[in-house]
Amino acid sequence: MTAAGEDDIMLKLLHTADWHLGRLFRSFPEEGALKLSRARLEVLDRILLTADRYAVDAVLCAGDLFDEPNPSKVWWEPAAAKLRKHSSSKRPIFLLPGNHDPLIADSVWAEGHKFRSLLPEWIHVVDRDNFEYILANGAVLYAVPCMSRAGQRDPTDFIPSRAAGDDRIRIGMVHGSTFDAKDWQTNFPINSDAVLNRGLDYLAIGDTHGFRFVPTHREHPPTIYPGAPEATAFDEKDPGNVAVVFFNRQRVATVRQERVARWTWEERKITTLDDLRDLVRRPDLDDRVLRLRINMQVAAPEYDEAELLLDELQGTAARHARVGVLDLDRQGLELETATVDQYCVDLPDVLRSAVTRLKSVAEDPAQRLVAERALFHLYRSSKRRKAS
Amino acid sequence: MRLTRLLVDAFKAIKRAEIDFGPGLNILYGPNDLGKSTLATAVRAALLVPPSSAEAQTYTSWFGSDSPHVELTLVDPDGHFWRVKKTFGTSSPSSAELLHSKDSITFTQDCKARQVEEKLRAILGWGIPAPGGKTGPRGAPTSFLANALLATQTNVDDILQRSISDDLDDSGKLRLTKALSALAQDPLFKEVLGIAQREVDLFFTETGRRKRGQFSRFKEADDKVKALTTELGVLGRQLEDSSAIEKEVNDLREARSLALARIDEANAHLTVVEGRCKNTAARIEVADGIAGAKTALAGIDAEINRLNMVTLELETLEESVKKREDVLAFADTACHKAEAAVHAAEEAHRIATSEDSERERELRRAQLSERVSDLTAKLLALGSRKTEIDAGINARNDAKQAQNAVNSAKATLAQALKNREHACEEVQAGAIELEVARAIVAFIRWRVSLSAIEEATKARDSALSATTEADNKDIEAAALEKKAGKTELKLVKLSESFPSAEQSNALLQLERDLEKAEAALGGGITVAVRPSAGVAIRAGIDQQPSVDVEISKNRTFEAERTMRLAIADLVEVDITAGSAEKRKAVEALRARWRDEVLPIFSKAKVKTRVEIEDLVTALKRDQLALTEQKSTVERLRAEARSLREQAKIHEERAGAGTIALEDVGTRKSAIGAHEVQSLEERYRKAGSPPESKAELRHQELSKEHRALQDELAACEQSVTMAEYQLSEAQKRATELAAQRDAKVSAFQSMDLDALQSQVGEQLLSLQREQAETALHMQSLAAEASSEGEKTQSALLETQEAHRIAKERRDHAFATLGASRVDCSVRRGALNEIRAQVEKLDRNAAVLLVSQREAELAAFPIETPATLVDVESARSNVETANREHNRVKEELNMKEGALSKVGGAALREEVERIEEARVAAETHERELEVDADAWKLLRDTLREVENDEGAHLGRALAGPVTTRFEELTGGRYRGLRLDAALKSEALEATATSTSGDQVLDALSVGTRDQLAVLIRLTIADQLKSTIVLDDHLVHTDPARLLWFRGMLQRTAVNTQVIVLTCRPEDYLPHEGLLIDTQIHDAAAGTIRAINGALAIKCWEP
Repeated sequence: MTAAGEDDIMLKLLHTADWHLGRLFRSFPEEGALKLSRARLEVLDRILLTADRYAVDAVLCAGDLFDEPNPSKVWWEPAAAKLRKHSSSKRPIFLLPGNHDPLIADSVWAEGHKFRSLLPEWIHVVDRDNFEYILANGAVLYAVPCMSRAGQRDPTDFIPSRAAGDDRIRIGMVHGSTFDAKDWQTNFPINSDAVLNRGLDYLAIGDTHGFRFVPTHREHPPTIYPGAPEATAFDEKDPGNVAVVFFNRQRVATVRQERVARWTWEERKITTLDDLRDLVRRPDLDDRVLRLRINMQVAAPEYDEAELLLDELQGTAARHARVGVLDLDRQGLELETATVDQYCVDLPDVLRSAVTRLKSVAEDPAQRLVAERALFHLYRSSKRRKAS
Repeated sequence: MRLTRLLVDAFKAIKRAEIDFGPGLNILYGPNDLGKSTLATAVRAALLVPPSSAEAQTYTSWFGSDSPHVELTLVDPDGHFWRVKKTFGTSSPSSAELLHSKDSITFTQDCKARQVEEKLRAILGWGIPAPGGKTGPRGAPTSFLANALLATQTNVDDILQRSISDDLDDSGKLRLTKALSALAQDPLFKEVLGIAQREVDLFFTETGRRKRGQFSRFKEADDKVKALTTELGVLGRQLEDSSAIEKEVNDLREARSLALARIDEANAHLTVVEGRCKNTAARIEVADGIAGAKTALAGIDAEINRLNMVTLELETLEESVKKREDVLAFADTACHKAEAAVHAAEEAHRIATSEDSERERELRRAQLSERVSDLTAKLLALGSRKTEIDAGINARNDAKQAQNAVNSAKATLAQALKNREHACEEVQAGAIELEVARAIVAFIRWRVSLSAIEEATKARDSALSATTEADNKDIEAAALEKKAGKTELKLVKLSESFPSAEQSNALLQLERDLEKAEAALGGGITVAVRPSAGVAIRAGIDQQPSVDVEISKNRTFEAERTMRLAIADLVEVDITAGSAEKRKAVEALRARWRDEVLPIFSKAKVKTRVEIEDLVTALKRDQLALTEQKSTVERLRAEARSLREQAKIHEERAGAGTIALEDVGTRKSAIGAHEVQSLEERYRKAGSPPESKAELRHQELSKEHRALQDELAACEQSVTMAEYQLSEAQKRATELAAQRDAKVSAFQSMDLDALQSQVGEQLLSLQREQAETALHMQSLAAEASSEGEKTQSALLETQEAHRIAKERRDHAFATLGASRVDCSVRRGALNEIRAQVEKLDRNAAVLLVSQREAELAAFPIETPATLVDVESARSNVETANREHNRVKEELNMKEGALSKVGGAALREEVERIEEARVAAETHERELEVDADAWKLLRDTLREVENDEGAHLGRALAGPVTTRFEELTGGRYRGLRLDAALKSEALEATATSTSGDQVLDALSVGTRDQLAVLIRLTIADQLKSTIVLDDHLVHTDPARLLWFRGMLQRTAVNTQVIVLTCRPEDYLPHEGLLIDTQIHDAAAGTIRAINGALAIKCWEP
């Protein structure tokens, strides 16, 4: 979307949400999980640099900035440091508690928490229902925090309606589910017409992890989900963005979707060795979170090659992984047992006898998987020892 | 396997022996005939011989009647302790018992009797099958390994010539193959097997179980799955609570919307019912008006009908009057004519008073008079007949008219009857339908009661279940709380005995300083003691426990840093390495250690800092566990509270069932004689309506039924009226028919109309003839003036005719008068009726009926409603309002609870953990597959190897040859064993003699040594105890010395028990031979057992 003419711009905002600092990715291998957790912190720099680049007047952070109300120090301390580091312009930044990190006693948002003391004065925590702040050019921000993990109250109900004669730019910021979202009934439901009912020119919301206009027809002033700046799951649609919002003198908001994510999440299913070879040759795997499902039956040498290629993708003790973060399911990789002995003719009799025995074991469906694997171990161990 | 303890009672020459074996080299020494070999036999008996076997008979005690008894305690490769107790029955019954222990202190029985042998042989794996069966051994069992490990003194050839193939089962061969597998194989095979074995060792214990200990891969994977499962369980429960509340909130929201909708619906229904009620009242009023108007109209119509009838009757009467007037006029004319004839006759008489004329005239007058009389008679007869005919015709017409009226009345009655029958049928059908509707209402109410009872029963059950569950949770919580209280108290006490964090840091620092200072001392102390006579010395080397030694010649003591020598309780010398300054520093630190640290250790009842750390870690773990227990208690209490609240709600619901229970009988009887099944079917066909709808239907039918009854009553009234009219008409018709029959009977079947016309014509003809005759008589009178008599007669005749005519005229006049009176009366009545009819406004009545009917038609087509319906609708509104208020209140409560739950965030968390658990399980499965694959590969390789068998001989021959070469100084090499470990050949250096010949040519001593080496190598490979009973008796001192070293090296890994009468051949120095039963040396790897003290044997 093209921004209005620069002269006509009255106000610029950066709208982000759903950082989920402290989220653990326990379905991934340990190293990958750590990378993904750290990515949530690293993206803060890119978000704040984007704010600098556009010289926005304020940064709105619309909830779920932490994955839980009371995260470990290892998350809130560097987060505070990054916010301080990028605060040279002293532009106001508004931090909103969401349903993952609601404002409750002992939470990171609580008045006495050390995180609050680390924040400079131009960073504001939305810690009351009637939060109101006058921005540049008289624009006004209304924000309503989540004070529990679930609720049925529409947070926009707390935003006052536009009074007669009030021609200021009015911006709302809340966290919750619009009526088209899953579980909206108990996850702080937000009326899809809230922007009209409350007389707002822009409604900044957070919760869904993909960038989204609500509603999509764009006839009303925008209600925007910017989504998570770094994806958190494979099934998220259009994550990794922030919204940069421009308001002209007529109070019309124009929204620009800006990508800030490093990581791209991708799912692949491999059914041939050629596909696997092609995948390994791809140059963009460094920044990929790849869920790889192997489903193919191959002869012993190809099985060996496939294992080597998979080692290359996921890395070994001696070699750096080709894929940034790999979630590998190799249960579908099967050894073609019918031909395995033709690749073992150069082995001693005793080993070939073992091959024959293992092949017969593999004929039992209950033992097939284990026997195939044993055959592969025998094939690989003997070939490698022989070669060395 | 190794032996830890042997107890022997009344066994052959031994009265009692009790020996604790050390883990390494055990030298049990004593003079000949002490019973050392008997001990070896006792070990064999304990391990291999069934108490009831024939072999046991050789164990009979030399002392008396006591049965031989052996108890042997051993440790298997997994560290499990087994104790076998056998009594070989001579005086008492044989018995065997096997006990098991994990700690060597507490033993529990594992099996007894025959199972003992089976279990022991499985543990040993020596190639001896379980006793009994076809393959079970008879007598004293033996095998290759049993022979190798527990051989008797004189069995060298058994070692060299015995084949493992002779074993009764493969367990010994498999075990040995497993143990020797690494020794001699194809290099590639060996490497692959090595890789497989290493992987298997990573995954499995020696006994083939998956490693589940700390740092094992399975444990790691399993821990991860368990941790995630536990977390998932906790979060899952939270999510269930959360989802339950969310669902309740959503349900309540829907319920609230429904309640609001029901209020609207009930209000709308009320408005409709009120309108319908008004309309119904107005309709009833209009319908009543219509009935009134119709009644009035019917009255008018009845009056008009009466008027018409009277008018018709009057017209008939007037016609009769007219006819009678005609008769009167005719009679009057005849009377006038007769009077004129009288006058003429009187004149003629006067004229005919003369005689001639008088006679002629008299004759003619007589003729004419006769003629006149005849004509008069005929006229009279005809007049009478005509009158009769007229009366008959009139009577016939009247009768016909009356019959028509009867027919009309009959038709009206038939129609009325038909109407009544139809109405009656409708009333009956309506009554049946009404009764069914009533029964359905009763049926629904009965079903509602039953449902309420059922619901109440369920609610009561739920309440009971929830209460029980709550009680259980409270009990569980109380127990846990009590346990937590105890634990907390214990932890508090325990934590008080631990150093603070500051103390710990200081302690750690001090320990490090001390280590550094001690390290700085350097090392290496050598003290040479040269006693002039035998002296007892207590030597403390470094930090090791002190050892008492007796020395009589020069002895050197060596230490790394410190040494303490106490010489014969006379002097104690502390020797410390390092410079004085460094020693001072060390001493200072040690003093600090004693002053500062040891009290802390003492308080904490530990000996090292690591132990404290371990205890602190354990304490923290316990504290964590305590916290978890407390939270579990809280959770259980909360769950119990929640359950009790649920139970309360259920009980309240169950209370409603009591009322239903009271009602159900009444409601069932209200159904009446109807079959429930039939009602159920009708109820289903009607779309299973609610009670209100069924009640409404019943009311509608009731009203319809009443309307039908009213209609029937009207029909019956119509029938009565029609019957009355018919009766009246029939009565009149009967009367008129009788009159007609009376009047017509004379005419038989003649046509009255034709007869009337004929008679009329005849009458006219006679009247004309009479008139002519009268004229003739008049002319005759005129002619016969003289004939007085004739004229007188004529006069008399005319006078008579005149009199008759006059009489007829009078009769006609009288009849006319009566008719006129009758006519006048009828006319009066007619006028009266007309006057009444004229007063009635039929058009207005018709108009009124039309207007009322239009009004009625103008009402909408709808079910009628009564005030009861209105009240019912109002009650529904109130119920809906109450329900809404209840739901609203509950919703408010639940919305409050909603803010305390996890919501979508928790759901996402659960989904993520579930995903992680699936991943962890997948990983665990992959790990298991991989582990199983390595194990399968390893086992397959071994099976292949075992089947080929050739490796065994090579494997064992290698190390034996090496040792034998060393022993013989390279004199022999190349020992060859066959696949079954039978010795085949031995190469001798620098000779061309064949291997088998060399083997046969070996001296007794060398063969003995070779056999011992083979046995030791097997024991070494199997890591299994070996008992050597006075072997090497033909060995020279040099080789004995070599063997001593060899035994000590072997004993590092394997328990060796040597039974000997020459301890000096095996023990490192004679100083160990002291007067105690047991003496350990070389850090416990060598144990000297004084047989003379350990064994009480038979003495002659």
